[in-house]
Amino acid sequence: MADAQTDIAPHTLADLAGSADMQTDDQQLPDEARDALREDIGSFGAGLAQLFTTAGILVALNKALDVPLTDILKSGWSSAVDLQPYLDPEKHPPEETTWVDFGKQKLTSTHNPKLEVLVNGKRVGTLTFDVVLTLHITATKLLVGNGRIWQATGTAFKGDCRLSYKGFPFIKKQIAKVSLPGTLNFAEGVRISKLPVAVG
Amino acid sequence: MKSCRADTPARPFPVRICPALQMLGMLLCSLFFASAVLAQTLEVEFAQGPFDEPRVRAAAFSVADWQQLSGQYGQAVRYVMVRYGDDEVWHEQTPQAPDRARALMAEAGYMDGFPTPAIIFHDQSTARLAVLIRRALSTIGVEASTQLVAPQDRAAAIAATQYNFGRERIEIPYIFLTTSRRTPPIERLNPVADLIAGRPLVRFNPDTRMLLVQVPVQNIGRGEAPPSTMALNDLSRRLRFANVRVPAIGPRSATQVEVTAPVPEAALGQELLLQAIVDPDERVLELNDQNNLSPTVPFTPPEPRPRPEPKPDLTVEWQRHAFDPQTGVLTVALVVRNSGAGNAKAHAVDIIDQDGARLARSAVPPLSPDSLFEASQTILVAERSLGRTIVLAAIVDSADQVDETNERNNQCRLQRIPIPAPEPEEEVFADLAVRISATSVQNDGRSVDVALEVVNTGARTSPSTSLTLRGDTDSEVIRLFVPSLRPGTSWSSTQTVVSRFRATGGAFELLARVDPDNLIPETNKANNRFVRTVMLPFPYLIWGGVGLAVILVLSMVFPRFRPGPKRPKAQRDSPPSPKTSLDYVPRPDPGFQQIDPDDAGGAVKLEVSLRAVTDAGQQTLIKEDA
Repeated sequence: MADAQTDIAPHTLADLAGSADMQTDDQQLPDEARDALREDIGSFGAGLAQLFTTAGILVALNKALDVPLTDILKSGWSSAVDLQPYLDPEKHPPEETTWVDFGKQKLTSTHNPKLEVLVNGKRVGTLTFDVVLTLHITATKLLVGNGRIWQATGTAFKGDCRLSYKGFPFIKKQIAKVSLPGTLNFAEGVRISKLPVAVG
Repeated sequence: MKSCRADTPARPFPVRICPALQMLGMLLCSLFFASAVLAQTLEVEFAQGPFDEPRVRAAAFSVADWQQLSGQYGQAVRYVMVRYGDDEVWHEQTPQAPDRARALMAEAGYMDGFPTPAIIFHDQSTARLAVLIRRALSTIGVEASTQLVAPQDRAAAIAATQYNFGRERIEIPYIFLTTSRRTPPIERLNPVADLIAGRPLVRFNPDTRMLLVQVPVQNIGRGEAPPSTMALNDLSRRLRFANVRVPAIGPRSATQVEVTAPVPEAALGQELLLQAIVDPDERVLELNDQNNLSPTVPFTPPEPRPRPEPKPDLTVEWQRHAFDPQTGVLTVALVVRNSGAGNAKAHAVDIIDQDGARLARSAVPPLSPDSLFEASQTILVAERSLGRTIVLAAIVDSADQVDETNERNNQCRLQRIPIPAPEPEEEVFADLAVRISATSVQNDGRSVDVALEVVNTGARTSPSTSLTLRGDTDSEVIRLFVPSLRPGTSWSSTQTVVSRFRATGGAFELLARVDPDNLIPETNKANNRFVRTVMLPFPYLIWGGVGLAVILVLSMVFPRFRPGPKRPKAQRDSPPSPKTSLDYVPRPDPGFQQIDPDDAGGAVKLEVSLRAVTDAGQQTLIKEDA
């Protein structure tokens, strides 16, 4: 387990997972995950398992983790319970904009990136990975109006990122505190999702 | 002010004196009695308007000394009788008290005098007094005019002070002065009621079709009105109302009378003309009987409104649940009810967790009122939830597809479901057993087709491994890839093993070994090896070929016996056909890159690469405690 770099603000899920920093030797992958990968690749064709090195798989996985961090935050904020009152046009008219100061929030993002094994350009099998990103957002301010989020600023978080294959964990990254610089502007706004009302 | 009531003048006292003086006394007495006989009684009658207030009458009487004013023009007044209706008060002295008069006027609410002028009626005997009294009354703000009336015209003059102005009865206050004789009281000055009916206020309840009419009834007279009745008439002759009772109403008071009646369906949308009349039987003595009718009010009961479309009301009940620890599946039984009055179209019922994320969904068919649908849903519980308590709830029509009377009862109570922790699994192993199921020797007598079968008889999935097949001890070893096998499954393959040449044929031993490197932990290692012996036939063809070769050699030695024509030299020297093999070429990036087909190696090369597929993922946001 290692801490993520905080000098440069992360932009993608790959930056948070730190998969690009992995070394090329097989020693960094646990045996169970490595065997499972080789076994599945081998089932796609005789002799294929010996072709792919762990480094090559990690390089391709790093591309599969190229999910913008902004998209993850936008999707999480759009389903925030604290923003539900801003969907009521009687309480907040469409022409009104409000800076909402969020408290502490926990954002959980689950992904299933895939690697397709191609032989002569034809897919012979797929490797599916499990990624769980947990961000403890300690501060952020959102500009809300007309049922949409228009700007975000002062976003700071910490957390961890876990990658596994078929239940065998092979990357667990602790994310030290990150402060996103500047302001995120959403040109067309992020629509706030209406959540089901809990009764009783 | 000292006052007394007297029906006759006071008697003189008898005196006894000397005769000389008796004559003088007789003279004086005669003069005294003459003056007494000439002394008169002044009658002052206050009536109507502000003079109905006793303090106003007292104020008007205090503005002047009536006896002294009468004496100014030689008329001796001994008593002043003040009358109001049947009430008479006799005054022997009438001292002037202007300050008290103003104070009484202020108490009665007339600090600045009367808003309407007053009339002073007089006859010839009080003509000069009337002018003086008018001047005195002006000091307290009462402007009065004088009017001479003959005794026979008195009643007509008083009647002329009352007239109707619209629905109101106007009365002009007046003072009547006379010394001629005692005039009888005017009977009409006794307090009499006067009932009027106000504008009816109409209300209609479309649900009960009841008409409510409220009529204000006012008594604008000076007397109390006894209990009476009020009739409400519909001049359009569509409705009939029963007479209602009107309670006793005090002077200058009002009450409100309500009339309710059902409106028949035929009268809905038709205009009604409503008019009330109070005391229709004229049993109440009133000052004015002509103002008992109310204004006519038109009212149209609205047409019956169409009934709103009945709506359904969907609810969901969490019946029961069961967790299967073997499969990790939670089975939930739900009941969706339509307790509304309308039909519900097809919709769905969801199971959500405490964060609102949907875990399962079942379609619900259209439901008629008071019908139900039993749904069963299965949820695969995540491994991280084992040994914990999960919180679930069911929500029906979460997409708001059905318009309901109550949209806030679509979710059942939160269910706290403890998930038992998995029992520690026993240590189980795989067990690979290899078997040569069949063999067949080919025609050459050396090649043997071997059918191999590997079965996992253990309780755990075996990882992929290899299998070696070998014939003779010094022959080539065939190594095969054996994939991962679940418990009870098998893998089979057919290989060809070529034995070394045996001049006489005989037994050929085949040895198959699975997991030759002994990498897989198994319950039984003994069945990883299988030996089978195959009997090879005598090589007749070989030996026949040898014999034929000998014959050919001999034929070369002895050309006469050379069989067949010669083969061309060029045909004999043609090169052998090239060998073909497969080879993989790993590529860093996906995409087929054509390989040079003229590769000198002569191998069929395949390009292998990996293609990355991203996933935007699913995000949930939970508020954390500070």
